[in-house]
Amino acid sequence: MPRFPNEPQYGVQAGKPNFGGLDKGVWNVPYIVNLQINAHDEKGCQYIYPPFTPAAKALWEQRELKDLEKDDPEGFCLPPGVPRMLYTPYPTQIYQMPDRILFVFEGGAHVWRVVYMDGRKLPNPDDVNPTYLGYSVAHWDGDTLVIESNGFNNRTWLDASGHPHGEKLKVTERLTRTDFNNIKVESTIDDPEFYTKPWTVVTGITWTPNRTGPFTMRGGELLEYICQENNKDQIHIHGVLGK
Amino acid sequence: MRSKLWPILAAGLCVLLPVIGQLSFSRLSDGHVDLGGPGVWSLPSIPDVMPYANGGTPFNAKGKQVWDERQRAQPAMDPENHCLPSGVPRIMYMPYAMEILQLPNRVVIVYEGGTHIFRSIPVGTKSGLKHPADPNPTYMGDSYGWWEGDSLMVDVVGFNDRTWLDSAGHPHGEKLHVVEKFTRRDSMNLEYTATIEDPEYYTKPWTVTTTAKYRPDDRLKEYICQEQRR
Repeated sequence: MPRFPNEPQYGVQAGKPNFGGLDKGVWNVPYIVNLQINAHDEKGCQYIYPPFTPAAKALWEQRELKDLEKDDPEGFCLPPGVPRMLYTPYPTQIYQMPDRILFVFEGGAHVWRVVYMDGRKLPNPDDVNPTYLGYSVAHWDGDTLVIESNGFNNRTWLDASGHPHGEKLKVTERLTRTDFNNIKVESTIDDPEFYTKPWTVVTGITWTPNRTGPFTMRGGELLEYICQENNKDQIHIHGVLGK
Repeated sequence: MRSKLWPILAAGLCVLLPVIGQLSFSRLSDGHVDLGGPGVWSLPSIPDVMPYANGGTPFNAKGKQVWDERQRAQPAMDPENHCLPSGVPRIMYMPYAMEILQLPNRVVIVYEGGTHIFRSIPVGTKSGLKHPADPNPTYMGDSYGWWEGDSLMVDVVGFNDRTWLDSAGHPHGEKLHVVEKFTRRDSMNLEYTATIEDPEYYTKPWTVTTTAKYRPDDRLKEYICQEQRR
């Protein structure tokens, strides 16, 4: 596995790959509207549908085919949730700290997400207050960062097309910096309430260094995007995308 | 004799131990004061900065006029009540907790409130202080930090004019320049001063001083202001 300069030399990050937090630059996040396109079954075949339960399929069809995505919580400037933070096309920075990793996001309501790496275990989801971003812990598996999260509320969609999840959702994300410009992101979605088995979505984020040129405004840093600044009365939007 | 001494010793310990505990806080391997720890900083609630400002808030004519208008209009006009970011320094006295996280070349402040946002502050030397020539105006501005002794200094410019300095309605414009100073007095207290300079609304710079208190056994919760907005 290739390694890159400026590796963090402290705490649990010592000797582990550099995820860019000490460098000037940002990770570009792709816009994934429908997770199924990036999900494959055990045989490597692309899913036509993820392994829905019948109720989940009906709910997805209602959201995507009948309501045309108009009820997407992200349209109300609510946090996209996990793993959707890494499918929402605003850049991110990943700060490796001695006992945790912090993601900061330009979009998704300009929020941050903390991932504990001090050895603590995932809580029993019944014991934590359900949240948009859940409770996350991580460990290094060789050069791959493995993040496990639970404790979610059921108020987010997994993607813009409306793939559902509930409070029993558990997400396992595997992040690997495969070369200087790329981190591969493999997210496994495990929610027995909506899916008959866990399924995995494979995407990636790409590095944008601080470079000179016509687009220097960024300066290797995140910009400030405040979704709720100009959010109009979404609930009353009708017409082409209406009921 | 022994039985008489024990209560005195115990009482003495009860008084001394917390004091000793409060005086100690750790340093990071690079020698800088650790502005974090296992818990969170609890921020004070200051609806009006006037009593915390050394010498009051020196309005000019325009500043006084906007202030007077807001006394009739608030709180409906307060951007904070529309779930917009609090801005600087107001985010430091909105009553939600925060954590200060330190990297070798950066300090990140993550806030529970103010719409669950963060400030990412590059840290260098004072002589390296540099802002973009014409920054895009933002709620939280463009920050640059450096250490002065045991205090973290942060210089912030590049604000938009869409925030208020407090819920009482102290105004500012895009020319606002804030210099913040974070000083950990002891394990439990973080002194914060913000020097506010905005010639558009004030006749001279003025300074707000507050204190954040440490809660060692707490963690940040998730507060999403826009969740229940009507």
